[in-house]
Amino acid sequence: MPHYFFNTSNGSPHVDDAGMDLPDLDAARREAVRYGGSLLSDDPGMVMQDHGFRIDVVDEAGGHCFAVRVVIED
Amino acid sequence: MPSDVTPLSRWMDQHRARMELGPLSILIRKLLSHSLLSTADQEAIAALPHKIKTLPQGGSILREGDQAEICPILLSGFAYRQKVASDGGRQIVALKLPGDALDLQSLYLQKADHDVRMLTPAELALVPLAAIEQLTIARPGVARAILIDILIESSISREWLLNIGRRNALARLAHLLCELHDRVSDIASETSDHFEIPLTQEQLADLLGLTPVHINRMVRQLEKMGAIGRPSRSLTILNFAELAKISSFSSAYLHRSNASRV
Repeated sequence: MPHYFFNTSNGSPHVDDAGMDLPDLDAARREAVRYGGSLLSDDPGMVMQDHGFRIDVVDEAGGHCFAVRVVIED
Repeated sequence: MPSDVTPLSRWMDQHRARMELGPLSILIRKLLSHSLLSTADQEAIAALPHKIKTLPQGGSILREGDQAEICPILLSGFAYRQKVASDGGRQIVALKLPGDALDLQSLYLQKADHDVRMLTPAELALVPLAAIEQLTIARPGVARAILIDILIESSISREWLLNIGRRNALARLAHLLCELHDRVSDIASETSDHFEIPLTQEQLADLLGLTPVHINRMVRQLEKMGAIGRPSRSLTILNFAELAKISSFSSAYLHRSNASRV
């Protein structure tokens, strides 16, 4: 099973050093959204930065897979 | 009894002198942590018929739907109660420590409503439920101690509902660790400031209702603060006071001084 790392930046920078085994990229997308939802539910202020909240998901080789962004548009 | 000696410590000291009571001594110690038991009550518990069984990590001792005939008493190791949703999502709903009786509810309820599994390799004493029921009929002190044990478990469940429903992730994890610190202290034969908690991050996720990646992040944060260490796949509590501050921990719901009130 591929291994993915979920790094957050902007409102809440954190490099994920453990990561998680997931069946495929689609499962990684769901996990990223769930993780982001859980972080934002604790601290909605994470979105209130200039560039909003961002999770970058990378694979074991360090390749960038996708990003999840949450921004507020006025 | 002089007023400067709490009944609890006095009874516990009496018990320590009586550790020759055999494998069920640890259950007696657990019950004495919240209830008074006469010497005769303690001897009657120690004399309960039982078989010793060992289980590996992950081993199951009770499944949802079972009609149990024995109550397992955890002699060593950790166990947990779990419930599983129809989509396979698992929630760990209770953690059990050495000395805990794992299925008192089957004394009075016909079918198990959850699974009980071992968190670590464990040793159990299997006591026939009928023998426990007879003992509760013959000895009101034992019946009272068992009732109090069940009441305290439900108090812990209420605190876990609050923890999962209303505390943020960091406080949620810190609160659980504080609770385990206090519960282990109650049964440990020697006191220590450092406790090893045999929970993996996946298990913590299933217990606290967070994703494993979120748990890892909170573990890292507590580690940076010096509150916990990670010697291997488990966690070690290094600074209880810091964890208690983060989670506004109060041990009132554990009713640890209950026996001294009587």
